[in-house]
Amino acid sequence: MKEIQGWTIETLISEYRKKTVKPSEVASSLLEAAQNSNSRLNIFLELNHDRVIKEALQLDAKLDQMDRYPLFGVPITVKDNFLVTGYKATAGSQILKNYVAPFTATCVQKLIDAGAIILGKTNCDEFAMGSSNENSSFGPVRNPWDPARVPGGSSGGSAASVAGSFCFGSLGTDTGGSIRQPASLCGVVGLKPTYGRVSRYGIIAYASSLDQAGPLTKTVWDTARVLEAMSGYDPKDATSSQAPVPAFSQLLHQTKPKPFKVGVLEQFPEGVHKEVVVSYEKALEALKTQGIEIVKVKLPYLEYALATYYLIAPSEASSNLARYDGIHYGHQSEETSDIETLYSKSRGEGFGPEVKLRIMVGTFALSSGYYDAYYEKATQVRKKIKDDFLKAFESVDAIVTPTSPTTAFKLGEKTEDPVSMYLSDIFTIPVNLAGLPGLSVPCGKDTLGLPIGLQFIGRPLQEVDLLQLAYLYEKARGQWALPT
Amino acid sequence: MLSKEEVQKIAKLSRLYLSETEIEGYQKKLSRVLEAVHSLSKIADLEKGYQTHASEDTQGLRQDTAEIFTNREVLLSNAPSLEENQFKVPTVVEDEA
Repeated sequence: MKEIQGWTIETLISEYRKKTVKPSEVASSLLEAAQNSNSRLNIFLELNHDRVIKEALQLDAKLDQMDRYPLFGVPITVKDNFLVTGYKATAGSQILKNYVAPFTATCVQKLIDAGAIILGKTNCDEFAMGSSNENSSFGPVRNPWDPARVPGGSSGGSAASVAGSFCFGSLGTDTGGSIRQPASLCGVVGLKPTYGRVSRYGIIAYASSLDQAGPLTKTVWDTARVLEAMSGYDPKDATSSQAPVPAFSQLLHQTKPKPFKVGVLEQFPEGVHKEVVVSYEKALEALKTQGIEIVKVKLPYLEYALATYYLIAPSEASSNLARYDGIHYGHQSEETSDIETLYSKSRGEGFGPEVKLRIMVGTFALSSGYYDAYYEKATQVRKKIKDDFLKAFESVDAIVTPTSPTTAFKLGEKTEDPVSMYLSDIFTIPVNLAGLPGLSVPCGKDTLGLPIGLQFIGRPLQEVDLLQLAYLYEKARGQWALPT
Repeated sequence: MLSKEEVQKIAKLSRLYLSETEIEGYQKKLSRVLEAVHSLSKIADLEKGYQTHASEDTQGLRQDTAEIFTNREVLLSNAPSLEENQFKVPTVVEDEA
């Protein structure tokens, strides 16, 4: 059974084809491992054994038709801010602790239609606000590489579920780095698609102009396979792109990659760990051996990305989270003397500390007298950041950076100062502001044996470039073993 | 640092009840974040007004037709407080009598 856990999606598909194993056996073995891990790692918020086995048995009967389903019998976990009919969707918040999803998110439904088995719901920072998973109302997730350390966030449960080999892939959301940073800290591959590539319908909103769903998997090919299944236009999301979705996984195997030219930053911001830099530079050397040309690029407005993000994201959050009123769904306070008290008490009791902080930052930035100097100004700088990237892409196909300035830190290490936590996303946030695709792939370990991630940033809708670059890099890097 | 009253005002606008201890904590944390985002004020050469970021590609529109969501029971089952299948709220308008 341990053997199954060590497989990738690619291996699993070939084993199904050889009929050495059935979906129900795979699901049952992973469920058992997941359940056994939960007291130690706290990755899963919901595992519905009977439902999963029932769905897997239905797939057993379709084994002969597996080629019709690109993700046939592939167990995938889903972050708890995606709606899946009949499962709770708490988004890691007390305010939604009893909320049961009345419908299924479009991108999850696409995976189900492609033959995937939804194995369970994963823990996350409350409303996807956080970089360490310590903001979950249901306790922090622990990193399978070292349970004294955080898995990153906010899709920390998703990243840890892949790193711990409890599934073959996971869906996360990424508003400022919430797929890529935990992928980096957990030593797995994570991709944030171009804004609009994946429908946001059925995903609990945090900051709508930045939120994007994407896959976390063990390998680049696996990411390509999940991405092609979950992407595409959805009339239920007006911001979803009508651009055709390439057959990403086939392109990796079949097409000879073009001679890539990749940009690197002239200098890094302060606070990037030395071991991360060493690993990053080694990765650049590996890229050169694959015939990839490396040139320097200038992104002058990048230094303002963090400040811009921490105005735009909280502003949108303060508006999105206004829907939690204690009346239509979610937690309702016992104190119902008048309507204003009911609102403020329900919200005060239901939201956790970081969510309250961001709602207040956003409310302040949007309030009369401050709007121009804060929110509107941030939209102006955001435009400059995007223009910087588009200018750089006139001379390079992609930009490469470390994914996170550090490796996994200890629980409690950054909880006192919000800004020190925010710095964890310094390399990922600009990508969301510009709406670009970004991918993190493991590129080494520090002296404690903790994983380090390499980030590729691409042109809008050019996920294929990122996947091909990361695939080339993965081959040059060699085997990558997850913790056992 | 923001005063207690300033934090209380922002909390009120946010419809968030905060305890005394929370208010003290947010005086520090809220000030810290607002100080960090203040760096934007020194940038001069920006285009005026609200700047949109969206690409033309991501502005698909569909016909605005009403659809009936048939699973009403499921939606209502998430409500914390119902009376005769309607959301129950505290009295908003008092009887004149």
